[in-house]
Amino acid sequence: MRKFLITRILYMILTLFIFVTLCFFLFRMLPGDPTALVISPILMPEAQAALKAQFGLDKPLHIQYYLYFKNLLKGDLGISFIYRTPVINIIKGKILNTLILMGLGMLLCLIIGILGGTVMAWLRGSKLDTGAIIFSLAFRSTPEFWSGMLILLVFGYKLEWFPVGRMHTPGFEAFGFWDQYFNVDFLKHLILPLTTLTLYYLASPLLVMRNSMLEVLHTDFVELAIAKGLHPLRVMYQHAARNALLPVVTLISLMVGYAVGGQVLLETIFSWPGMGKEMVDAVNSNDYPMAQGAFLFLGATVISMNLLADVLYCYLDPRIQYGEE
Amino acid sequence: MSAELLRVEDLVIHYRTREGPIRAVDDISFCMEDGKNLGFVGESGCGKTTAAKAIMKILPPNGEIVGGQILFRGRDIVPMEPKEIRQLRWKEIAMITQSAMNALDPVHRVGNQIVEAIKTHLPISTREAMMRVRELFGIVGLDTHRINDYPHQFSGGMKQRVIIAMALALNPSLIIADEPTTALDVLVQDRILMQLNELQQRLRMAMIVITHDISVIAETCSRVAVMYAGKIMEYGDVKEVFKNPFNPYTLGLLNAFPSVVGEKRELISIGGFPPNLLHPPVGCRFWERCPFSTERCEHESPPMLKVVASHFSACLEIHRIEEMRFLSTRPEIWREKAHRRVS
Amino acid sequence: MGRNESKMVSLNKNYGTKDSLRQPQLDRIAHIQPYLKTVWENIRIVWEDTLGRIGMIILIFFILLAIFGPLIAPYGAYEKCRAPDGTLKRMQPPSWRHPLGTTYYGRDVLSQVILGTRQVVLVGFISALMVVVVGTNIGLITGYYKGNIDNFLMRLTDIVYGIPFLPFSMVLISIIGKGVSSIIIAIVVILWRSTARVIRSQVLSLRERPFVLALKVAGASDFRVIYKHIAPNILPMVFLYASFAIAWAVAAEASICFLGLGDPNTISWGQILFYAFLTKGVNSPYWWIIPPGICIMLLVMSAFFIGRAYEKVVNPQLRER
Repeated sequence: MRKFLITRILYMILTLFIFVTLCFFLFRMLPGDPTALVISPILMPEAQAALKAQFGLDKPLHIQYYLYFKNLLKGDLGISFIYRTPVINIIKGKILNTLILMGLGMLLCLIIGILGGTVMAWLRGSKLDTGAIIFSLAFRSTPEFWSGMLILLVFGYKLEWFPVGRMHTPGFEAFGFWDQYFNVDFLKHLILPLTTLTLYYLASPLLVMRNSMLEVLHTDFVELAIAKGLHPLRVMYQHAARNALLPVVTLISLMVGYAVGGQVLLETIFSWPGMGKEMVDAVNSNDYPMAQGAFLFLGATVISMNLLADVLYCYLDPRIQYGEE
Repeated sequence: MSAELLRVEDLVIHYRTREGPIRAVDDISFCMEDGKNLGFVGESGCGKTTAAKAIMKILPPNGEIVGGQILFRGRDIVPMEPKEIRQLRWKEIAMITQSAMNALDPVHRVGNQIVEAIKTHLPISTREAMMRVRELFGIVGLDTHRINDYPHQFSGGMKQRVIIAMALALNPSLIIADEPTTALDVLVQDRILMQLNELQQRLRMAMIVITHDISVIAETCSRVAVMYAGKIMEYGDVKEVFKNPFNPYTLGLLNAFPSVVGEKRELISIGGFPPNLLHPPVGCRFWERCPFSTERCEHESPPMLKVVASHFSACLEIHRIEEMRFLSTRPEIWREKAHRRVS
Repeated sequence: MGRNESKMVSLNKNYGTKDSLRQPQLDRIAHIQPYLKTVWENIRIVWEDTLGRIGMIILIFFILLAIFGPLIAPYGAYEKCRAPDGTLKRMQPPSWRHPLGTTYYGRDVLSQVILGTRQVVLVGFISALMVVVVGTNIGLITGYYKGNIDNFLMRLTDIVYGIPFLPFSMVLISIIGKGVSSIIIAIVVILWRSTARVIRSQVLSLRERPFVLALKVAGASDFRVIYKHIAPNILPMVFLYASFAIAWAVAAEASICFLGLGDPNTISWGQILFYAFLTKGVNSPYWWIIPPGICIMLLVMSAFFIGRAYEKVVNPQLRER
């Protein structure tokens, strides 16, 4: 098991490395002078010169590459043109906003998907089953930015049940970094974007769990569990669902991959101050260091979540952990 | 002094499908005594597994007991509520399944799966249940250190033993062994059969042994029921039925199995396929493949006739049994029938 | 797997080893004709499923709309509509002249929706086709070969899985410029990954089948084995993922255009929503934002329904008894 973990972690590091390299070359392909990637014309000449030296902008490509990594490992991603502060600070401040929204959404999707899929498979063919399929597929087909707009329009503007976008009411004072998340105001602002997100991504775990359960319900060990005289609920959850949820876990990596991209849309609609919105703003205002930093972090989030999903699967499926005899 | 353990009367089981009901088991009756084994033998799809599963009421969702009685120690199982059945399951009637390969839940430890069965029916602590599991492992000859292993860490034969251990956990009066050795190689088969025999004698359990392999029945059972297309063709003491069969289908079956002793003879198979159970034949179900069938056989369903004490056979031409026994050893008879069917 | 077994293809007669295979289902020779028959059968399977039928009807409707759009639309996509007195008809609610009202810029919403269909359908189908072609081939190769090629392409797939689609598209389009082809490129470069993974796992199991070993022993070249014998067996999966790919592509196109990265010279549904959000934010008039959204939803849904109906072929357990 430990060997498996170590292999996986090394593998993740390799993927990250290649991803960062990809970033490096990708952003250099943007039209314009490569120095414009780092140096804002607004800065003073001394500051420009310092940055030039730090990032080796007058040196050959491979040196720039090396310095790029060196700076990255130090945590230095350059200075944002628009914010005039180091990119890393902006990221530090906002990454949690994105992660909380996305994380809670994914968690809700998984829970509802697993529980719901089990019930749907049990009640296969019923109105609830067909209704849930159509309902979840309908939401999956609806672009999340559109459903977000409508939800916000109806529940925010028209009914005024919830605030209209942003993470806090303007003028909100938090007593500390963590305090800003643990209060009712935050929750009120969280509900609409969280609902939009959950409704959109619900279809995959729900339908995969349903299909997986349908297969598992025909297996010999489920039959044996019934023959043992176990209560049907116990059979369904302890044996059937416990096995059926393995494919759903492999789905997590995929979902996170899409959700990270989807955050871009969601945060734009709801004016949610996270890395997604940051990326959109940065690209629109040609704030290259910010755009690059945001892209790096979004990708790193996906890659590390993939690792977590792998580890979770390994934990849930003893056949991987203990290997074959 | 054996009490009557199980009595099945006129059992009819259907499988509901889009095209109509499949008459998987059509009006069968048999009974069992405490401590004695009954074997069910027949081709795949003849209904033996269906009948056995009905006793535990673990038919698939589209399976339905349409008629008849299943009396377990005098109580009819057919109209029982799910809650009552659950109490009966495993404690009184347990099952050893066909493919142990897949019968164990891959994500739970083996010991826990047996403990689960025990604790569902007995109000004892997990520790005590685990002690019982160790005891069971000892009985079937498994290393007690492996209680906390996962199923995939065991070999096929060992998994089968785990299944047997689990079935014995609550000392049931009846064990249904569905093809207990089919998936195993011959050496392991032999060992498992010996073990089953020994256990059964020690613990005084009754077993229903379902198989398509006559030799297994010969080794383990005292009575046998030969099934075909949902009906019992012949039923009686094992030695009697195999030495003096009174049914053409039994004759055909016996022919198809090689014997180590005796002369080397050609294996004769029964040509053709079992009938479609959606629209089963009106008469004897075997008439199409039977070399001795007559016009009457096609239209009239044979009743179960008592041949000797506790030996029954369902055949309209039973008076020709001597002739049939003699002719059935000739391969031409069967081949001719197969050809005639085709043309 | 029964269904797939029956579609297995025999060796070409030239090899003359038919007897050695002795598999009853092998009596068709692989050439173009059986493929066409298969396609028609597949359409029939989808048609028989209720949801699949609805999906097909919707899909055909939008295809027709895409083809005949310019003939039907009352106004041009960017045509500014003026009232008789010369003022711009800004943000007008639905009326007889403008059944879906007008935008902030005085453009007819109905015309925009109708004309936008063309880009959506075009991008959707072309991207889906390319995604499936690239993904299937990579899946076939990585599934069949063991060793360096397999490892390299597999790692590549894993890395592509680590790249978030929308952020990447944003950067890519900033590099290569806005345009319909840019959108297609952005979609294809990333979204082949799902198809590749799935096809790969299918090929992995097919590779161990006796008929493949028999072919190799008979001396068939790898290319032949892959494309003439394994490929026909994974076709059902390919069709399935083709329909999913259409769904993803349409959704992706809408998202990319919504972010303002679409072609400024053409119109598409996502772009209509982009303009709406740009000018009025979330508080846009219902007649402007609801029609394009519904169209996207319907088209994506129809592709999903078709895919789901088809899944019954690929996975027989999903069928009802």
